[in-house]
Amino acid sequence: MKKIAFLVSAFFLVIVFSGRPGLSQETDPSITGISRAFNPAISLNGLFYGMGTSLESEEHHEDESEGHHHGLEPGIHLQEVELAITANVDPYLRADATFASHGENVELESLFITTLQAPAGFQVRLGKFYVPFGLHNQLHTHAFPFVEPPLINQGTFGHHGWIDTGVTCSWLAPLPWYFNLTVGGFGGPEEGVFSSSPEEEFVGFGRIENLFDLSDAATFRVGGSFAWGPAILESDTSTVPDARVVEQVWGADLQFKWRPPQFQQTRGLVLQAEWLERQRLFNDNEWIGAGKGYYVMGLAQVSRWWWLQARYDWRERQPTPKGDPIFYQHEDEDMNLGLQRWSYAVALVPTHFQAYKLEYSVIDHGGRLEYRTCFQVNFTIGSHPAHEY
Amino acid sequence: MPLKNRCMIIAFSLLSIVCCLPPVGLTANRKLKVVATIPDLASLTRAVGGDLVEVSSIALGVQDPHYLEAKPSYQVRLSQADLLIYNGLSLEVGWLPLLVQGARNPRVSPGAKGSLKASEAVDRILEKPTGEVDRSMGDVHPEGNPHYLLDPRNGVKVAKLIRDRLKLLDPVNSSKYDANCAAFEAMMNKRIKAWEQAASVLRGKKIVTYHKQWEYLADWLGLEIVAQVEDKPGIPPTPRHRAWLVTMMKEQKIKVLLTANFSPGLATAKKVADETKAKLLSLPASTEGEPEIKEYPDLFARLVSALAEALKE
Repeated sequence: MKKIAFLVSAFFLVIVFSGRPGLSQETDPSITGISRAFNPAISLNGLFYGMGTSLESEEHHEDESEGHHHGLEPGIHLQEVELAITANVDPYLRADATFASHGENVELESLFITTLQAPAGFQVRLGKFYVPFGLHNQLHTHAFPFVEPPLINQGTFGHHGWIDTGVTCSWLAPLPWYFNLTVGGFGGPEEGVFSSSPEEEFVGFGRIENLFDLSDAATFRVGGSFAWGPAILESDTSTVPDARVVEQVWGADLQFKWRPPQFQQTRGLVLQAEWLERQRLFNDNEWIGAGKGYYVMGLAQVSRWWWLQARYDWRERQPTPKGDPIFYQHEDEDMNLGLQRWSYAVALVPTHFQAYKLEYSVIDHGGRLEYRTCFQVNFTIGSHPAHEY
Repeated sequence: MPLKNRCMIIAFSLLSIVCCLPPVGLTANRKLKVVATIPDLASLTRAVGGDLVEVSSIALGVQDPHYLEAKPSYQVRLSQADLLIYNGLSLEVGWLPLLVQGARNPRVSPGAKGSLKASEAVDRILEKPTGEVDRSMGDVHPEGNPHYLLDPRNGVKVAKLIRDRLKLLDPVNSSKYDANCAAFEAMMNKRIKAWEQAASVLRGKKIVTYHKQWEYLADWLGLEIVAQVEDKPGIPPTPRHRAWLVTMMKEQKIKVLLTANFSPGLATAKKVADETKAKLLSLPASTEGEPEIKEYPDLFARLVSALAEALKE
């Protein structure tokens, strides 16, 4: 047996290594078929956080189970690792893909193509991507100005934002200022509003955005977003049937940015506010509020490496869907008290490729106060596409 | 057919139609709209294009072009451009790709006739890394030092490249572009000789710079840059490097520390200059870097006179 094994091994070794190299090893892709010239740009972003809260562990989890999901857990954790791959497909299309993991599974976060050659200021995007609803929803987790997203975004679109499969067509108007109109249709996300959209239906989306140059240093942006789609509200009581409703979300956003040209690496200011309101249509004629809120934030770059940041955000408490789906919004007495949060952060940003954030938050859970301290580490390797303005 | 399927069919049809439409061509009898990424390129285009072109620059002369933000208003400008002229060598890598994609203008998309990389005109790129590069080396440009327009001889080469592209886009006015470029070249050659004469005292003189920005200028004038305040490009110096630099500057009797007037490290440079009793020269590194520097040649008049004055002894 050993002899046979030896002979077989010897035979393979002879086959593998018997080729005689020529005078020079041919490495031209036209003969080898192997080329790295057209490899896509690849980058990896790592995001870790540590969080301490004044709530006892039971209180924290009770709060989460009540639907006040904040995403972060006490202790030190991997918040997200993101692998981004980008390349032009050909002269007409660009493709972007990101894979994200929060510690267990790796998920396809986005995969989309964007037209490069469409005429007359049009651009079409197709695939799975962050829906450009408002300003914050367009940000990947590592680009959030604070460790956590605003309460209203979290409550409306879920902790990871509204990522959906669909198509958008945007138009850059031939005007002296930036005026961009986007319309689109989506299949319905996995969490948040529209997540219970029936499969055969779609979610409509529209956004208008204007940006004005106030000077070489300052810009002012104002935008409005709207989305609507059907949803099934499941009832957990046998006496009340599931309700089919139409949901709509309105949003408005304002942003002022200031960065003096000669000191663009050391001074900067961002003031930004966003408001969202969610409504449901019952019986074809009655719109009922299903959550609203806003945030206001300021980010000030005070030196080359340091930023000081503050944010206030508020949203109506999101009740759990129990009982009669038509009236449950009004059954929770705490609802009108709302959730509110004050956040203060210091960010250290030595280069574009690493950042550290120390954040202190006070959260008012309808009268019960929670104090949180977060620390976040953010780094990127590889060729990462530049972030939007 | 369910509504969702109908919408998907409409969306795919729209995408197909939009992708198949031909790019919009140039309209005759109007000025070519040129967007340059930096003021030097805008000035060279004005010199060659004259009144046949309408030129604007994205970056200002007082801005470090490495670190611009991709303002959507720049996209608006690019969306209406017939020609985009950019420096290349990764100088604009942090913001130009976003602008080009957001502009949705096939005329200036990569590879189109309306997209011109100015560095193609330069046959001698300095400091091109020979081995592997990574970010532990700082903001290294893998294709080489991108500040080649600080040598006026390169400016002349770039002007010729711009002339050729303008002729391609607007062949009717080829002779005017040829004449403008020839006049510019003659004027520059004359002035270059004069600047070289004025700067003859600089040859062999040692200076320290804040950033690896002045290599082409030094190469042209025969200055010797012995070190940078930045230990690695784009990264503030460590205390150890600063201490070494101060000692070295004292030992070698370095008289001038040169920095761009938009440098984020002006305060650090000033401290080093104070400690070493060197003269801190905070100079414009681009056209429009100071109010008097309206065009590209003005920049060299200012740089040569300032350096000659500082290093005359």
